[in-house]
Amino acid sequence: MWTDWIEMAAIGVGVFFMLVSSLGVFRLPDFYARIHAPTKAATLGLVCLLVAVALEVPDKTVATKAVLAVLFVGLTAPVGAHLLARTAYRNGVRASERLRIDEYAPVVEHRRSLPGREPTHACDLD
Amino acid sequence: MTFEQLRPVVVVGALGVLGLGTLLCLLRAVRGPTLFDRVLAFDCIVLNMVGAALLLSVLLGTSVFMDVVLVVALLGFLGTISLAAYLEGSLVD
Repeated sequence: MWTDWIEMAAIGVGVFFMLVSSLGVFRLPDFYARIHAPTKAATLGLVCLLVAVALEVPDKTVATKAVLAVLFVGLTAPVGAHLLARTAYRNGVRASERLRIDEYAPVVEHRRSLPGREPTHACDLD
Repeated sequence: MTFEQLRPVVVVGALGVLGLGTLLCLLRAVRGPTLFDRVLAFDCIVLNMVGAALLLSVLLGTSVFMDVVLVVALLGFLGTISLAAYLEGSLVD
């Protein structure tokens, strides 16, 4: 059956992208580079694996739940990554020296200079 | 080797690759210079676990793991969001 071959190909591609995302989390130089890896590559990998499951189990409920999971992961992964990166920047996590343009720095400095807002440094928790 | 013999080999190999990825994320969580790297590594580990549940669903040919996939993805997102909000300080003000 040709769907079996599509299923095997989807498993291979999905697992490849999941491995690339984990490798990016492990290897990339600073936090803002690392946060790119699981948001994009792991989402694509999960979509491929969900396609494989929907081909393996030919059932309407499985296909519906797979579509739901794709929509859910596609909606939540960018939101979580954005929130985490913004929190990290406001808490003083700095990028490497290779960062050329930093448009968010004046905004954060302005927020820090407002009265009544203590600058927090969650990095000091380490 | 026929196709039906090939399929479990492919799926178990894919599970091994996901385990390798989880190990890499775990190393980042241990090493991780800041707390945010650890939160990110946790997020990536959760995504790897979701992928492992999907591969188990393919291997066993059942559909019972789809609910597990939805709930675990929801809990991973909830953990990341709540940790980010806590570190931002908007939960404790």
